[in-house]
Amino acid sequence: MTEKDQATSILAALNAALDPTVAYDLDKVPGVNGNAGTRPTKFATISISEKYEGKRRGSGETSVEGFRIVVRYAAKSTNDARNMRALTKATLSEKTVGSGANEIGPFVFQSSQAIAPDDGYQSGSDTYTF
Amino acid sequence: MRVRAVHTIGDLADDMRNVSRRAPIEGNRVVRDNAYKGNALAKGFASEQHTMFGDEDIEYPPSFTVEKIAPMLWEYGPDTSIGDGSQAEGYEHGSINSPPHHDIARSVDVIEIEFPLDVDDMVRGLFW
Repeated sequence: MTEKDQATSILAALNAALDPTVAYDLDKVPGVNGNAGTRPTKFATISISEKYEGKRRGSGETSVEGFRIVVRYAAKSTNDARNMRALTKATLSEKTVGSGANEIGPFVFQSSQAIAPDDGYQSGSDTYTF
Repeated sequence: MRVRAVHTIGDLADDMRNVSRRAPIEGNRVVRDNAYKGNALAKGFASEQHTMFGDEDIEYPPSFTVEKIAPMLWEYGPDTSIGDGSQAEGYEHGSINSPPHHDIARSVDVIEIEFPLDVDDMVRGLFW
């Protein structure tokens, strides 16, 4: 399963949970990066990277090996950002997303950043590994 | 006919005496070495971030330091009083306009695997 497929699965799950807030890849947020429209008043972004995992045990067969995902919540209101954090936690933490061959997870909470003023928005992030 | 019995119980007795003396020293050495290793990794990742994204964060990697908090308790990472160390939060987690760099988290990925192995080796090394 490629990183692109993983991002697609995770974004689909987040968009279902965060409705009507929308989760984007970093390059797809409206109003930035030359995209049409204006930057939404609340939105989430994700970024994925692979993580060092050392030598695996002989029996350690998994469909996807160690990755790290960061979900960033940005909103004009701190409470909106907090709600996004709670909904994301309910969707990802200790759970899997996708089904069949595209199932990934479970996501394990790693670290969190407080929601703070950031370029006219209030934003914070959570990091999960899977 | 001759019977000859060889035992090494004396060696074991010596070990038991030495283990209590050497364990704190060796333990501190393992923790210190891993703190320095983690710091070197994190600093390396931070330098890589600098080469990739221009020179505005050139003062960030030098802020990575190691210090001893107590015996067998060491700390590493950006020092907020040095250079751009106070910007660690933004570099580590990213912001609305930039992705997270995770210099410290990536170093922990390595250390969390190698540190327990080093502790294991250290304990084995106390005998013989």
